[in-house]
Amino acid sequence: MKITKEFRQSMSWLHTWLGVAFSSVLFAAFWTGTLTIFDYEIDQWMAPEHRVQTLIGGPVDPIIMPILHRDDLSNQARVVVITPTPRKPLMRVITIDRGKVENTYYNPLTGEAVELTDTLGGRSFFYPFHHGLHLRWRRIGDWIVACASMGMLALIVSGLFIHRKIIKDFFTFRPRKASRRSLLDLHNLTAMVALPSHILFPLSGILIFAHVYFPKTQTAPFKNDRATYEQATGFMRPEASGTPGAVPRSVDAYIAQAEAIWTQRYNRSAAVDEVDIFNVGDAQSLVRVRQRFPQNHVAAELGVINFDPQTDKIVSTFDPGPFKKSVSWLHGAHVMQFGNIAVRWLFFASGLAGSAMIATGLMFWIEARVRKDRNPVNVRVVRALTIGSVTGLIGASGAFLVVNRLLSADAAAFGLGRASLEAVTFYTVWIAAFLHGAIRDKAAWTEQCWTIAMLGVAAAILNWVTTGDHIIRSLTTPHLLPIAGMDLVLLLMAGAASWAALSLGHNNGPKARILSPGSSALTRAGSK
Amino acid sequence: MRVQSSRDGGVTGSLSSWQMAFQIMQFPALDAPVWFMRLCRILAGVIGGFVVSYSAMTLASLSLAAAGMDKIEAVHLSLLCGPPLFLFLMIWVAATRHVLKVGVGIITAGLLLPIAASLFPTV
Repeated sequence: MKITKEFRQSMSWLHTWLGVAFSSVLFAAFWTGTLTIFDYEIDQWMAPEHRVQTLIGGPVDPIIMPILHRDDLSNQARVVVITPTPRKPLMRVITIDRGKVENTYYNPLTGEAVELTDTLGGRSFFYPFHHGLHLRWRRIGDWIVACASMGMLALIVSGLFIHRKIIKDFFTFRPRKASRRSLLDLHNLTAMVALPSHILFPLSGILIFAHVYFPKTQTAPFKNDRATYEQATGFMRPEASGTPGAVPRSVDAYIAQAEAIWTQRYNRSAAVDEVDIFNVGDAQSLVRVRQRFPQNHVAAELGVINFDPQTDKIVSTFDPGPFKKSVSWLHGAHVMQFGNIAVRWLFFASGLAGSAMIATGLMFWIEARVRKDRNPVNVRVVRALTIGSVTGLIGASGAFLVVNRLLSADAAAFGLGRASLEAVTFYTVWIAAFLHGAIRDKAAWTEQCWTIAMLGVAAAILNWVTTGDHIIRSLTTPHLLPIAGMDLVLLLMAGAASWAALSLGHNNGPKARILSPGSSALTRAGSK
Repeated sequence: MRVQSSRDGGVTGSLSSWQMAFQIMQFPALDAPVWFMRLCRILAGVIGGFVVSYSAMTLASLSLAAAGMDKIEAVHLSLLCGPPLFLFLMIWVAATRHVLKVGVGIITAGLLLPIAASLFPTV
């Protein structure tokens, strides 16, 4: 296929307008997605009770058996056990009975229940924000993020067509050039450096939520019955019969049996990470054992085995075929729950590169618009939206962490609990960032970067003051290494924000005024 | 009659009278703002691409299962093919000089594929 000038032109406007339409949503999804790579580490930082030595692969029965024999559980009760991993030191038990959900955490070494700080943390705040923007009505947030994901894929393809010198882009960054030129360089560089992950994340994100976006594709071969589809993948949901039956005699026995089967099948050690017990004490009870996120394998959902507690025999198993495994691999690569810490850091860097790519693309477009649009109100509104979307969101994330360390354990106000107050702080700071952008215009970039820097330093210091876990202690204590990582990232972010504030302040100064709209560098950059 | 190509690479070439009728429906000929035409193309690519790829995926999962493939495998093969098809259609609508042909093609496929999927014998 010959790539004509017309084709490049059409790709250029597609790139520009899709970028303008989706950049804010994409930045929100990329930034919070990048944070979610270390969601359990954020949980440990925000709820210090997680910071304990753990026991991986230890017995489950001493903790779960008293729960299964509780008198207050109905025969429709479901009990879910999430076993500890190095990233999740506590064992989590979820009890769902007659519409009531109880979350309890246990120390696997002592077997004692642990009362956690009331916080949404990374797993319950940043993760739902990442895929659904906390817009739950008819899952509209999921749809918005899915549209943005498809837009991202189209942006990548169109971007590859409009940039003729891809290899040159890879090695080009001129920070001392005019601000728009250096923005474009940084946009191209961050796009090229992490290109595979920029394709992987949106594509796999769409596939993870295929049941939302393409439900008929999944259920059509099963007479459009979702229950039948789920049963075929090992996820049957038995109805309680009302007749009393046996309570599982030993969950550990099921785990050992499943792990032996999977170890033999995949020729590598396997570990069960989730056990679901349906209809506890009913004749139609079922125990589902899952290898949901294997620590030594990228693919998620590698196997499901269902046991009948009445007979202790296997009722059904599900082992994925090649295409299901491919989707599972994409799922696992997206959620990154595997144990390899080096790969997770690389993905974190890719996520930051993606966030920088989106932010610089948006900033470049704004600066180009500023020169064309002489209406100061338009310019101010568009710039305020950009500032709020980029530095505002980062600042709100920092404020979310800082307020977590400032609030007392029993904090409550306006009828809101501690966790809700943290979320309210996040949104208040975010909205304030938009307003600040509208009032202070270009100066807001610099001021918000300084704010981010201060929040980063304050968060690290507050962690030390409120928990006693300073960086030296965290670095020298094995089970506190995730906290050291969090504090170091916060300080690095503060450093990067300070550098950005100084650079932006420098570019807003005399040098930027010397460059006229007609200068050759700006003309070339603006024509992109 | 020759129509000048629009700034964003729109239609050019000699047009018959029925093609002219469709040409008039293109917004630059009516002096509609360029941003409006761009928005229409993006929306056409997103909505058309979604309808066609979703229908094609559903039809593919049905037909593969009917042909004897494991049903779960058929579903996941179809799911793997769907987003690239969606992406291709979006890019195509954005880039094509043959707005008319591609538009008619996508609308036809968008109508026929769901009908075909609904008529397909469930397996």
